[in-house]
Amino acid sequence: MAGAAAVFLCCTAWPAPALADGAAMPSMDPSRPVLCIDAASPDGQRWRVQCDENSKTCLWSPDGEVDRSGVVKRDLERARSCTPAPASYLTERKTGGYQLVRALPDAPYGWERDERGRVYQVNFDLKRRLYLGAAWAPSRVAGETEAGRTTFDFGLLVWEHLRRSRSPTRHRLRLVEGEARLAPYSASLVLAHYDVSRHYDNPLVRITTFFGRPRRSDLTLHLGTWVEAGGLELHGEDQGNARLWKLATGHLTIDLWQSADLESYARARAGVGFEGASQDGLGDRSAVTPGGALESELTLDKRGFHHLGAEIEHERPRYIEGSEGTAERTRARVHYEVIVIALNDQPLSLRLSAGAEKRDDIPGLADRWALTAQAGLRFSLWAPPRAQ
Amino acid sequence: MGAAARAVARGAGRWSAAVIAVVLVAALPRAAAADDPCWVSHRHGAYPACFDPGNRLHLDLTSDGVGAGIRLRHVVGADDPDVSWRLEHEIASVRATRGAIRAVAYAGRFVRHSTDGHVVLPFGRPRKLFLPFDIGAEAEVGSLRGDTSGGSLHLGVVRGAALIDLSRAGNFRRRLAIGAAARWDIEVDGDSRTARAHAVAPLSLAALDLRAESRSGLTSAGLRAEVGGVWSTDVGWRRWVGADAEIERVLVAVQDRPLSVFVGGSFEPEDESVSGLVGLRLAPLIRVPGRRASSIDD
Repeated sequence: MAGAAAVFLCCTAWPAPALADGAAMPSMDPSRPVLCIDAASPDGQRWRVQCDENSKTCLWSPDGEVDRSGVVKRDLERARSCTPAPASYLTERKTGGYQLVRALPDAPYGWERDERGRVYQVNFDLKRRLYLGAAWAPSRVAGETEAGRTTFDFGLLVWEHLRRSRSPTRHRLRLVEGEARLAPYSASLVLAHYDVSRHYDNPLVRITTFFGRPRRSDLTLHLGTWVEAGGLELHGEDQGNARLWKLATGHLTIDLWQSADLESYARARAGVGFEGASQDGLGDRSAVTPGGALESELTLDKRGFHHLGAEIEHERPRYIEGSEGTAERTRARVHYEVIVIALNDQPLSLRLSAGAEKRDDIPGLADRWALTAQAGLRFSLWAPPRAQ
Repeated sequence: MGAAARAVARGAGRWSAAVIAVVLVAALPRAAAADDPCWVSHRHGAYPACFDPGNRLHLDLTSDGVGAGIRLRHVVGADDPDVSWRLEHEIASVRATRGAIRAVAYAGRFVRHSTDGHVVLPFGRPRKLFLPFDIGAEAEVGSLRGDTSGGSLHLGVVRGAALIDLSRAGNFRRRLAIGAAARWDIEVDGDSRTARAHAVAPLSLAALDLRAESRSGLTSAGLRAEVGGVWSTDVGWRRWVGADAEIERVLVAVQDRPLSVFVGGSFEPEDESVSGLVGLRLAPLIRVPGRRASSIDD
């Protein structure tokens, strides 16, 4: 009897559920407990309730997805279990001066809900995905512009993992990643890429000076490794098709700057690789290739929507078989990727890039700066929410 | 040992564990369950009446050659019980006929199944619109198709497709997927072993993928097709039409290893020719769904 009276008081004194503007509604805190109250509304709806003693406010929402008229149609997706509470709980809060505010149900990290309680992902980790994209890729070489050039790029697996500790370590793995360009034709592929960044808690070297008062200076070097295996470049030239096999390359890296989660960085790397090249009618060549690069990858926002990268790389193949002397390869590139839409929580992103390249290792390629640009879309699969 | 095998099988959501799981699940004895329709009781011991054609090692004897391959498929759950990932893999698939060979090093299909399809527009406050399909992708790396007598070889470096699955099936038995495909192929001269032409399709192909499979796994049928334009270094843009279809039916099982007959046909995109074949398929390693029932004599 007391319960029925409590429900009556609650439902007559407080507002009935109605579909409101989701943009104007606050959201329940997913880190705080949520109570569930049966028959909390005049039409018997079950509510999720979260009260805050400091602000004297109780947030409420239907415990389910509702249709446009506010009627519950199905259970909430990705909802935490809630603690049952009697209807008198709301009445007691009302008596205590609490304000009842319509809110969006709680959603897990990386997800949000609309005014109907439907959940959707709003935080994406593009460092864990499969992707496939296509782009318009004009280029300008030796005064000639190829405005109709297009390309498609792909990555069978992009996977990064952060091992948290006092000296956190981020592992980066990429399998079968590359692109193929047409009109004129060229293509590149890397079967396997792995690199690791580490933030060393202890300095590599500490120097104590004894001029006057002893003082300590720390020299911290965040060293890592960078390896690629199974690289392939193909170029269609007037003098015949050219093939460049980058069999294995290993570099030592020094991170000049790291974000706390090591996802963003600026670093220098240098090392050596072994490659073979061939061209129709010219035979095969092998080379040992010292090289180095300055590169940076930045994730610009917490939700993982904006990514900016830049790279300057120089390689100097020294031929050991089939040819003599050395060659030069220099390239620079800057790229930006932003998520524009998500289909079933799988992001579709816009990718822009610009670059320049100069090389003399492939006969037929103009030994002059080639300017390239790209504007296209990428479809990514997987891309879970970024780690908190 | 049996407990270890079941523990590994529970972890079959991981790709590496899936390989081990298929082998062990096929090889080890199972617990009793008398009411499982996939197991038929017999006085000498229960025998299976269902098979999982997506988890097997198969050997083919066809009207004009031989073939073999490994297929794996498994479901990976998500935090949300309404969402799951259906992953299918084909590894080292080979078919050799008199004078010709077809092989694929790896082909995978990854579909995100959700009971709530939608598109999110992340402008201002994100908005959600309903969509009636699942999202997925296909990847194929290292395919080979060609003439073993010194003619041309078609090397498929990579093929990828973004798909929408209109069937929205929560299992592997039905698929009605359409999408856009990209591919990068190299036509190799068989004598000189040099590239004769390179072909690139920058998501310029429409892809269709149909599949139906009986609940018991004894009957299955599939059709895959690609239509569109491919740019080639020798002729520029050209039409590309390719299709594969196959129907398979398990007829008998020997020592619980199914032997099936299959009929297949294909429309080759390079020379736009039609070919067909009939064959027998033995699966010496195959996953059997359900659990073994007790025999009558037990």
